[in-house]
Amino acid sequence: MKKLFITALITGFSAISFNAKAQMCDTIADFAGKFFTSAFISDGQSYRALLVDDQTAEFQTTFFGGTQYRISAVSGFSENALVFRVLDEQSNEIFNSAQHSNTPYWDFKVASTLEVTIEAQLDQTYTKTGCAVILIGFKQ
Amino acid sequence: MCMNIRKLITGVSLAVIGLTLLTACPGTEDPKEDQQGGVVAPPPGPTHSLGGKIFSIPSPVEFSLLLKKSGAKYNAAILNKESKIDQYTTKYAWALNLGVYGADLGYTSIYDHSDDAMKYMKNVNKLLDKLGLMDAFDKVTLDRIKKNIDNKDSLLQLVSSTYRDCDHYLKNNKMEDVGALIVAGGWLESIYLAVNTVGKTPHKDVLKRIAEQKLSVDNLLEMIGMHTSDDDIMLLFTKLSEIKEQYDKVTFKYTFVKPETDNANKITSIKSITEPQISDEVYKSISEKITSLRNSIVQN
Repeated sequence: MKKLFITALITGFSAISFNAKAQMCDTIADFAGKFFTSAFISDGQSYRALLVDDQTAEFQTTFFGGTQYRISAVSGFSENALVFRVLDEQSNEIFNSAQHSNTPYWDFKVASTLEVTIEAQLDQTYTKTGCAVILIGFKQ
Repeated sequence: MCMNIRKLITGVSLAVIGLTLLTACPGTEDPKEDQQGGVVAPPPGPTHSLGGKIFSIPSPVEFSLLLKKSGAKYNAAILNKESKIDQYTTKYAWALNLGVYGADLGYTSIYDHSDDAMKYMKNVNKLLDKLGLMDAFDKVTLDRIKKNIDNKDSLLQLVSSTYRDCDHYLKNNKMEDVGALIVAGGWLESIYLAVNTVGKTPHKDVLKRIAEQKLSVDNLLEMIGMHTSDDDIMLLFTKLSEIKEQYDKVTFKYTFVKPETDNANKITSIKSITEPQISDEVYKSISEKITSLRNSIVQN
């Protein structure tokens, strides 16, 4: 009975901790959404990762030719705590937010369709751990 | 009034398309992926994928926009007939045809055919209801959308935030199979509209758009492949695999060109060139297979 109680307690604390993290990411996603004007339609997803120290999160997506995209990338409630890079399929660097004071958003005008990889990393001068959120939208 | 209806349609259309897109979110098989908040726990390695498994499939709205920009003309005759809705009696058919009608709604909205769009909006609502997805839109959100119907900026922001609510709803309610079918139906209808708008001799820009869907087929198969324990979904998987076999014959030539960045306007122009190569024979085969599968879904 005691074991069961302890297990339930641990499970309860884990759930509370988890829900708190999920809620934190939800709130950060709302914050990231503030960099989207009505001219941009969200792709409908919020890409999230809990990052620690120098971990890098990455994912692949397609930018279609003739379209203008906006990437919004934040961690926590500082506009500059997340660094993101955009690479093409040959790993050529297309953009690095570190070269632009860790800007929380940037636009990309795409001439011809290409596959890109987006990498995100915490700027450890701001934080050592946090929920990284990236949003993508395309212009109408 | 007409303008308001158009805005309403566009808003609802975006919400529906958003819903179809949202189902293309992190997969359930990834052990790092939680089932409630979409938060990925830190893995042991230095690099991991953001959001777990990402399926990047263009939304029907985005594809319709691309189609319109390519110069393709509007053709209402090729859309799925709204009267067919009563033929659909299973969860499988409801989900696939929600994707189909959602794509038709996006297509009619992008081409500013409000009357047609209204018909598809009704069908979309009916199928959302049948699938129990109306609960994804809480009353507060719906009220806010109604209040902001004349304010395009607010409406689009609201719709964007609604996407995330839908994402959580589908995941929390273990409806990933339904989500995958909605995405598949939407994607198939989008490509079907493209190939049947342009006919046997497509404009090179439209042909390019169809060829570029090669990567989407791979992603779609991966997503559908997670639910093949269901016989109907297994059959769909097999049919999509046949389409992929043809898409595997499409090749791309990529040439990197240094991008140009405008710091003042926070914009980078990506100038690299990707040239898809697709033969007439492969295009014809893809068109036929897409049309055949789409027609079986809408029960033509």
